[in-house]
Amino acid sequence: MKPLLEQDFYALLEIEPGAGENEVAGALERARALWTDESGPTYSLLPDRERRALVGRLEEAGRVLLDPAGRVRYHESLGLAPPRPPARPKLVRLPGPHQREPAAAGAPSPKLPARQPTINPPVSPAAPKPPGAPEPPQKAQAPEPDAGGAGAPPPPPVRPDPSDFFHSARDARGENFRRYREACGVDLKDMARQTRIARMHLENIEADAYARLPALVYLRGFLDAYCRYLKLEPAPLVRGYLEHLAQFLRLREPT
Amino acid sequence: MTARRRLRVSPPIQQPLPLPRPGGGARVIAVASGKGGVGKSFFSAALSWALAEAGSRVIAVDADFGGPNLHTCLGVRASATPGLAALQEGRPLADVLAPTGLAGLHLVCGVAEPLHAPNLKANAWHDALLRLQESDAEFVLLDLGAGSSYLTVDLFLSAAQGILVTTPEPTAMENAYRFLKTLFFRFAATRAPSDRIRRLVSESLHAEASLGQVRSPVDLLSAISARHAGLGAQLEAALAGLDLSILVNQTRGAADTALAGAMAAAARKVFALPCRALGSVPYDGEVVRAVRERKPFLSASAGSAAAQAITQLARRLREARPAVEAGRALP
Repeated sequence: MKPLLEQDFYALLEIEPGAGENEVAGALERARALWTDESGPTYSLLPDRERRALVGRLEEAGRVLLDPAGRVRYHESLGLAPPRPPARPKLVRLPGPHQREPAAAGAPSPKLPARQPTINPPVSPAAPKPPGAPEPPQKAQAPEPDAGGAGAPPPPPVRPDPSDFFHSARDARGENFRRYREACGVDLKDMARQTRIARMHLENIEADAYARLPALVYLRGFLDAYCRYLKLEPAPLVRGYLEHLAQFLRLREPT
Repeated sequence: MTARRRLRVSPPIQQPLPLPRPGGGARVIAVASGKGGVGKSFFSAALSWALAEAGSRVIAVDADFGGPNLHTCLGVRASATPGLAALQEGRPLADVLAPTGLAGLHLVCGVAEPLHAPNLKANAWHDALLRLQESDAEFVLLDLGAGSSYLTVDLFLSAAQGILVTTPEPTAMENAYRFLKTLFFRFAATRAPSDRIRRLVSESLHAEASLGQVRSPVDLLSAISARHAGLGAQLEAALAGLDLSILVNQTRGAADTALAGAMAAAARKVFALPCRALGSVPYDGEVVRAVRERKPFLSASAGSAAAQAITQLARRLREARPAVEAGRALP
């Protein structure tokens, strides 16, 4: 076994050189979570200098391995077989009846067709209100019993109208999530504590930092928890966000 | 450096304790922790109970010579039952097996051990351990003392399977890592598959280190490999044969639950040890109540979250194929 800092990126991440892009991203995320926080699971395990060097090395691994061209060069430098081109990610084929924009219907439209569900706050399951309509008083509203089970976070104090921020699933972008959260007066730190999702992940979601997002299986859960915390209907927004991510990955695919 | 000088600087290399032989005998599981008070005896007692309740014949051994209290966790009154020392001296096994509330579970009580027991070397318990291993029990659980003394680490290494208990507190994690580090060096110095490796390691741990400054397990492996690539690979292969897992006790919330896996991953990286996550036991006020009432936890609070976690763990251990420790076979 080589010293940590002399191991190649794959040994360092405990993955095979043939690993797909999602697997690389997931392993990077786990390693980063493991070694970045000096009071986390690896507390006292490495001297500060080594820890910093290791975290730097992981960042380097991310820059190289998540860049298809860089990864090819890296394989050449190690004398490895060239990496597979990034596979079409599974999340392109999302389940459900609304999984894709109807591309065959004509010119791509930035807006969803009318039959696409509008995103309603779950507290008012009635027909969507016109934008800007005043919120009905919600004092009497009982807390959602199914909003996350025991330990469900308290609803945010202010409730802006989600349809001001999300006209369609296409608007499920980090920027809009952040604006909506700020309009709710919710602090990212509180949200991280109560959803038990590392703040770093929430920040990366809001920044659309696709390359830094965790593995798909985690991301899905995080997005779902994010939406539920802000009392947003999760399904269309999670789907929309993942569509953007899929498109990002498709664009990076060498043609 | 002459052989004579080497002998002077090297500590005596101990002969390894009995190791599990493929195929036969009881499966010896050692439970240790770096830090005290993390729930080691509680866990050993509850796991023994769960294994016995599921139908296995189990012997729980209080090998915490400095602070025996496994009997309390099992609801057994501290009696004059002779312990491991008596077994070592040749008393029949039946004399040292104290009954518990379960027919399939017996206890080797630690109360009657001699006062100097904590200061003995692991080899002093050789015959007793061998007889336990050759008994007709399916599982022998060794509840060890806290800390990373050679006695504790050697006893831990003598078992077929080692479970390291910690809690999510930084102090407990720090001492768990300390235990693993000691375990690595101790394994390399006493149980490496070649005499040359054992000698190199022993020397490196003492003043006149012929390997130079060795700070970490991985440093040691690369230093040995630099001398002789085959030796490094041999040591790595032997280490890979260890059955070593981490259990996090008193977890609260999802982040804590993920801790066992994270610690195991980190230990694999830094100590070159094949650590696995065994799982976690949620914090449960019922445990405190059972201990205060001196009742066996699993019979007092069978439905609690912690009890369910341990029962599940016992089921997994029973289902696990009795591992043939291929990598651990020693000359």
